[in-house]
Amino acid sequence: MLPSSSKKRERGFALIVNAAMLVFTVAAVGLALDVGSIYMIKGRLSAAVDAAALAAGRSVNLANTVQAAQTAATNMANQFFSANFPAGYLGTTGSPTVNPTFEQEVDGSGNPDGILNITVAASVNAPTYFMNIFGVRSIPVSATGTATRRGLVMLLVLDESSSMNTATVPSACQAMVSAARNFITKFSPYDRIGMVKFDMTAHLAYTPSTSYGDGSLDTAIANITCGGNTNTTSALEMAYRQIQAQNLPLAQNTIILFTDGSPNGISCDFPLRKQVDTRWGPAVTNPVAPNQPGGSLWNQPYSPNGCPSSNGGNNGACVNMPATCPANGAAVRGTLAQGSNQNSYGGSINGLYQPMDSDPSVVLPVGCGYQDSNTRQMIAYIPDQDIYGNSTHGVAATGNGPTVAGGLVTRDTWLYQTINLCSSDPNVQPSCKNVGDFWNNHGTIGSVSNKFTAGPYNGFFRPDQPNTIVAVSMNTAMAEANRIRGNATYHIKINAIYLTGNGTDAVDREFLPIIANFPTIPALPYDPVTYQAYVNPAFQQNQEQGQYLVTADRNQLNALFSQLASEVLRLSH
Amino acid sequence: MTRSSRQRGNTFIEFAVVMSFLLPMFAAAYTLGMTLSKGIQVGNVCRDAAVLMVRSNTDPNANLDLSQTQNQRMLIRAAAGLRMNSDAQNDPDPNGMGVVILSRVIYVGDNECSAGVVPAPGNAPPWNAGNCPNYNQYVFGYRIVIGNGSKFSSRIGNPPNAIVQSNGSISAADIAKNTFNRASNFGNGGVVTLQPSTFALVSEMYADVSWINLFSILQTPIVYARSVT
Repeated sequence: MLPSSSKKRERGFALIVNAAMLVFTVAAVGLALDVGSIYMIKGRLSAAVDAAALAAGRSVNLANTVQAAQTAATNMANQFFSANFPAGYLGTTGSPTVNPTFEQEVDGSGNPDGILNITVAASVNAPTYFMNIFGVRSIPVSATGTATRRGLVMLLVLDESSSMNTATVPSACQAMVSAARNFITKFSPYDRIGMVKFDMTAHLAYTPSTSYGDGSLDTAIANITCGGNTNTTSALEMAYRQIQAQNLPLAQNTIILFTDGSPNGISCDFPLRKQVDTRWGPAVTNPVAPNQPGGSLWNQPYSPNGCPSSNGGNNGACVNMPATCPANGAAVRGTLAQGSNQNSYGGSINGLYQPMDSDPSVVLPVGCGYQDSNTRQMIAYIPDQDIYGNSTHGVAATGNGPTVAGGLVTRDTWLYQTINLCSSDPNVQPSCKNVGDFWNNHGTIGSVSNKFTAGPYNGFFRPDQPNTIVAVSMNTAMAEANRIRGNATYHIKINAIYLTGNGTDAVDREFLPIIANFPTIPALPYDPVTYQAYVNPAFQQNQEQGQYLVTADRNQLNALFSQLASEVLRLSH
Repeated sequence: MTRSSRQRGNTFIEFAVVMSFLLPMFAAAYTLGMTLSKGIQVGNVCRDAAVLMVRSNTDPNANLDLSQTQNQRMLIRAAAGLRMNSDAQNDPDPNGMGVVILSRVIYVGDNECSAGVVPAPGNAPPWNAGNCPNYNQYVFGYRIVIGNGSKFSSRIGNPPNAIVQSNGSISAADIAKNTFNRASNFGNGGVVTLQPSTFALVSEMYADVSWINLFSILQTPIVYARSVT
C-alpha cells in the first residue's frame, strides 16, 4: 500500500512520460520525413539531369557550327530539365539553369574514339520542415548526369552513272543531288560526313570532315554530273577505307549507298588472252543474229563459223577468236565495264578504267595487237577474285533462297534481261522491268552461260558479255558489303536506297537488301500485291543491319533520304 | 486492491489521452512515410523505364523490345511492393495497382512528312498542314503500356489503339497524317517545346497506394511520376 502523497504524485506520470517521449518521437518522425523528402528531391534531380544530358546529346544536330550546336543543345537541356524538375518542386529553391559540358572521349593513347560525353550538373536547396526547428532551414542537394553520344562517321556513296540522266526534269541525277543536299543539313557539326561518287571509277569527292556544314560538301554534291558506268564495289571499298582512316571505332560508322540499278563494273587483275578461244569477236560473212529479246549487236551480224585472222574493227561478232598476245603476257589491273546494254552476248564492253581515282592509270599491254578499246578481246577471263579480295562468285549464304547455290548467294548463272514484270501503279515509270532468271531456264537466249563452256578458259567468267559483267559485279559488291560489315572494329552499317526506274536495265530484288543486310527481301515496285517477302538468304545476324528503301519514282528520293536521316539521327545518341 | 484498480484506470485513461494524439500522428507518419517511400520507388521505376526506352528506341543492337513480356517483367520486378502484378504467369496483370506508360512524342517536321506522305503531292515540299495534316504538331510515334492500362491514362494523351502496332511503333503514315494521333497535352507549354523532326521519350508511372492510406489521410492516394528524356 502506497502512501497517499505517493499516489497523488503517480497520477499523470504516464502523461508526462508520454509527452516527453512525444518530443523525441515527433523529432524522429520529422527527421525521417525530412530525409525522405530530400531523398525524393535527389532522385528527381538525378532523373532531370540525366534527361537534360540526353536531350543535349540529341540536340547537337540542330545547328551547323559547334558553337551554335552547343547553344541549341543547352536550350534543349534546360527545357528537358525543367520538364522533369519543375521550378519549386517540393518547395525547393534555387531552381538552376543547366550548362552542359561537351567533351570528346579519348582512348588510352589519347586519340578520339568517336564518343562525345555530355555532362549536366545541377543543385537546389531542399527545404526542411522539422529540422527547421533546430535551425536547419535547407539542405543543398546536387546531382550530375552524363550522356554519351556516338559520333557519326558517314560516307555518302552516290551513283553518278549515265542511267541517272533521265530525260524528264528533274532528272534522276538532279533529284538525287537535291535530296542529298537536303540530307546533309540534318546532322551535327560533331559528325564527320564525306562523299564518294562513282561511275566506272570511284571518286573521293569529299573527305569525311566535321566542317562539311560550311557549304563545302553541299558544293561537292551540287557539282555532281552523271555519266559512265556503275562500279559499286570500288565505291563501297573507297568508303570503307575512309571510315578506317577516320579511326573512330566507337562512332556510328555508316555508309549511305544510293544507286539506280545493277552494278556493271568489275575491278580485277585481268589475265591477258594468249590462246584461241570461243568468245565473241569481229564479224564474218553469212551471220546469224544471236537471240536477245530487244537487243542487238551494234546492228551487226553474228557468225558461228569462226573469226577472221585480223583483229581489226570493233563491230560484229564471231567465235573462235585468234590469239595475238605474246604467251608471256601479264595481267592488267583495271575496271571492266558494261557498255550500253545488259546484253546476253557480245555487246559492247568498256574499259579498262581506274577502279578508284587514286589508283594509277591503267597501262594497257603493248604488242598484243589489240585495239585499246577492245578489252573484250584482250582479257582472257574474269578471275575468281577482284582486287579487293572479294569472290566474283557471290557471298556466303546463311539460308535458303532461289539464288543460293553451292553455299553462295550468287548470280553466276543469272540472265538479267528476262521475266518482265509490270506495275499497275501509275507512279511507277517505266511501268515494266525485267527481273531476271536462271539462264538455263532460257536456253535459246544468247550464249546461255556467263562462263566459257569450251576452249582454254572453259569454266571461267567471260569478259565479253555485258550480262556477265553485271553478274560478276553484283557478286563482288555483295561480297564487298559483307566484308565491310564484318569488320569487328568499326561495326559499319550500310544503308541503301534503290531507285529502280531508270534506263532499260533489269532490276534485282535481292541485291541491295543483301548489301544493307536487311533481314528480308521486300517487294520491288513491279511485284504483284501477292508477293511474299522472304528471308534474306545472306543475312548476317551478327553484323549491323541497315535500312533498305526502294522506289521507282525519283520524286520520292527526298522522302527516302529524309527517312534515312531520321533513322540515323535516332541512333546517334 | 481498490486503489490499484483505480490506478490502472488512471493509467488507461492517461494512455487513451496520449494515444488520441499519438495514433493519428503514427497513422499520418505511416501513410506519409509509406507514400514517400512508394513515391521514391515509383520515381525510380519510371526512370528505369525511361532508360530502357532510350535503349529500346535508339539502339537496335540492344534487341530490347519492350512489348515482350519477359522485358516488361524487368520493370515489374523493379516495382515489387507496388502491387503492379500478382501473377507472374499473367504479366502485365490487368488487375494490378500500377501502370507504366511509355511514349515517343515527335514534333512533326519535314522528315516525318516526307516519310509518311507517300507519294509526295505535287506541292510538296514545302510541307505544311495542307499537304501533311500533322505538320508542326506533337504526335505519338510509339506507345507501350505495361501494367493495368485500364486503370490510368497518360497525361499527355493517347494514340488510337488501332494504330499502335504490336511492338509499340506507329507507322510513318499515321505520324504524318492521322490527326487522332496527336499528343494534345505535350507541347506548347505542356511538357516541353521541341524542334521540328525531333522527339522526346516520355515515361509515366502511376501507382494506386490506397491500401496504405490509413484513415484516408491522403485525398488522392495515387502516386505519379514522369520522366521526359
